[in-house]
Formats: sequence, C-alpha cells, structure tokens
Amino acid sequence: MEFEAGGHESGELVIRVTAMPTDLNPYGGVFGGWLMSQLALGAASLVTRRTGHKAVVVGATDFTFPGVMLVGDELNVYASVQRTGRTSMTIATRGFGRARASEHQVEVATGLFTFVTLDENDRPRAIAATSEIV
Amino acid sequence: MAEEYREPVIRITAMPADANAYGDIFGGWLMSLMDMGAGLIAARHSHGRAVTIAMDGMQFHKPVKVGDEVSVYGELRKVGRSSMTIGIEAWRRHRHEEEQVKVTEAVFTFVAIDDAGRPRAIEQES
Repeated sequence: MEFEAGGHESGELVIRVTAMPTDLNPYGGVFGGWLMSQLALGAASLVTRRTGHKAVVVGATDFTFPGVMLVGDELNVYASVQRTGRTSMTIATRGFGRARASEHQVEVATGLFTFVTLDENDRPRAIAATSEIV
Repeated sequence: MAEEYREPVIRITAMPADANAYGDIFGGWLMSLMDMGAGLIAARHSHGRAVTIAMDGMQFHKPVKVGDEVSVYGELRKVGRSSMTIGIEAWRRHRHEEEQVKVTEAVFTFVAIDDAGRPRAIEQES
C-alpha cells in the first residue's frame, strides 16, 4: 500500500511517529496499548480541529490488531469522522506501520472512538452544524 | 463496602505525564494500562507469550484526575484453543479518600503465540 500525502482513503494523517524502545511490550514487539493511545491522540486531534471544542473519549470499540510493528518502524495514524451527533462525534482510526527503510505500509491497528464535546464547565455542548464538519 | 475483595493486577498513581492537553487523565493512558493488565493475565494463564488481537466495548464512565490511585482488575472469561477473552475494569480512588469508583471497562482478546509469532495451543484446565 502506498499513498500520496493527504490523499489516504482512511482519512487524514493525524500522527506520524517512530516507535521507540520505550513503546515496546515485554516481548520486544510494539505494545498494543501504545498503539491504542496513539489512535486516541490522533482521533482527539481531529475532533478538536473539526468542532473547535474540548473533547473527551467516552467510548472505544471494535479494535483490531491485524499486523505487527517493530521498534524503529514509523506509525501513521489516519482518522475520519464517521458520525456527528448533537454533542458527540465518532471517529474511525487506522494505524499503519512502515519499516524505516521501506515504502510499504502494513495495517497494525484499527478502532472506533466516540467523543463528547464539552464547554468550560465540562458539560456536554452542542456541536455547531457547520459545513466544515464532514 | 460489602464487596468481595479482589486482587488488582495493576495499581498505580496517575501522574501529570499521563494527562491530556486539558489536564485530566488521558483516555489513551487508561487503555494502555488496561491492555497491560490483560496482558499479564494472558501471559500468566497461557504460561508464555500472548498478544492483543482485539479490544471492544470500552466505555469511559468518569474522568480520572492527576494524583488518583488507579486499580486495574481483570478476569479470564473464556479460553479457546489459542485465544483468551479477558474482562478488564479500571477504578479510581482519590488519594485522600477510601471510596473507589469504576471509571472504565472493556473486553480484550489475546492470542498465545510461540517464538515464531504463530498461534500456539493453550494447555486446557480440566
């Protein structure tokens, strides 16, 4: 799989980061929990950008880990808005690993996040119905 | 608390490095902690290497704050030939109080693998 910058079918590139030795599991592979937390960071960044509000995760479902990643590989996280509710937004995320010396990307993690946007008092706030939200 | 005592798989204090951009504890950190807890149960039960292949049904009921003590509890729900289904809960306790509140839960699926990364059979308990 090779993709042009900004033209990925899975959405926008929200994170591109190298897996480091502190991100490994006890067996030396990239830790699944680190992947989940990178997907969460990427999804949160898209929600805040689209809505302009503080947003927190209220749900995470349908996670799969179809491939493996090694230390030094580059993780690419793509995110897209799947659904916009009154105060919530569901984001589909996909993570692809790329070996440092290769152009080939392998899917390593996928999952859905639901966020709720909050006001200054941490109460759910309505998402403006703008054409910006896609 | 009339609840039965449960041994936590992880008990840790949430620190500023674990917060999100708004100062509360980052959901991704909790997910990673829960995955670590499930991984311990999977490794212990299968007597070897086991990796996460799926996670589902995670709900975040309450926020966690910096300084809270977070306890992760887990139970093995199902064992297949090489897979394990593990239910995980995370609870928070304010560092000055005794009351514990459940903040999130999820179901993890792990597969026991051999040195070559291939699924291996788990010894079944009779």
